[in-house]
Amino acid sequence: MKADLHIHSCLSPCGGLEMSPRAIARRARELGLGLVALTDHNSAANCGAFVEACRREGLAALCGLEVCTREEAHVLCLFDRLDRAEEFGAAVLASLPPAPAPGPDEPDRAQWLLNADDEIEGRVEQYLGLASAFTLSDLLARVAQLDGLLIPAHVDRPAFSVISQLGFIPPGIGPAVEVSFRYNLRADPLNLQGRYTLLTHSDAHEPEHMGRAYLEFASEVTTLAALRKALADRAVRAIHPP
Amino acid sequence: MKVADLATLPGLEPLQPDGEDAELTGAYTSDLLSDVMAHAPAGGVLITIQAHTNTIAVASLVGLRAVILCNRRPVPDDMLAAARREHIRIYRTADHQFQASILVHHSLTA
Ligand SMILES: [Zn+2]
Ligand SMILES: [Zn+2]
Repeated sequence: MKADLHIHSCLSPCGGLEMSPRAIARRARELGLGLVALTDHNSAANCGAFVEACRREGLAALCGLEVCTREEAHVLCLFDRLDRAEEFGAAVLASLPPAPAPGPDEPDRAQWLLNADDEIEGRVEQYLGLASAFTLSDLLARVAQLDGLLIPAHVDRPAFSVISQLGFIPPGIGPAVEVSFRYNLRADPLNLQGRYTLLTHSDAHEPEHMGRAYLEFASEVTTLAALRKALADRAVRAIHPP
Repeated sequence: MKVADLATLPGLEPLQPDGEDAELTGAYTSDLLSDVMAHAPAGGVLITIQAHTNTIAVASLVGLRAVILCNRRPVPDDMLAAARREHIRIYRTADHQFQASILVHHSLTA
């Protein structure tokens, strides 16, 4: 079963309206994905529409967000329950330094809120591309409290990764870490395989990005509990299609 | 000192030379963008190793006029495009942040 747990919608400051929750769900089904997660920057406000769009397409969905920590590292925070993702997302949003998002005259950066029918419901006017007030250890504690799962994002990237910002992966992280679609999985230059379950996702900001990286699970994984078990058991393969 | 005068500093390679040529108000050296947001002076130049588009987004929010990228970090095309759009000049140098800061300091106070 295929999964992609890192996808951005038009709510992210760098995603246009073509990345609507409905469009993502449809593209995911075309690609043969069975489990997907929406992870916009510092907000879960499009997750409700995403869950509904995925239900219509027959896909399992997780609610998530990609939080920028105080150290300016990106981490994926995934939840089973929409209300928990939204509650957590609201706390993250409230902690951002005040700054306006670009307006509707810049539709590719305007941070749109959509419903599952592709109708515009509004915008998040606080700019989401900034660092939250939460440190990595704050987030580890909070996400655990809400029964969520924290996965450091694209740890191989030269900016906004736990490794670029801290120089190492601190204890408490695991069992899984994510590498970007550019990472050489076979050579594993950061020597991650021995220590972590290696994940990779599309981190799509545009429809064409979807499918460029994904996971293949040995069994059916449709809930956070099943995902947690699969990651602990390493019953998953990271795939970069040629 | 004008913003465009940065191009005359030794070792500074102009990668994105377009922008309004105003008086340079100051400089700030930091690699943490939240810190840049909070403390960099409007109308100034940022000295950093953060060679990516988010640096331009923050520079634009603060009103910075130029960015000097240190340690000859590779600069992605989308960063240059964003800088062109926002009229923020980009220079690159082999110097590290401390060396580049001294260089800019001398010319700001000359
Ligand atoms: Zn990221
Ligand atoms: Zn992302």
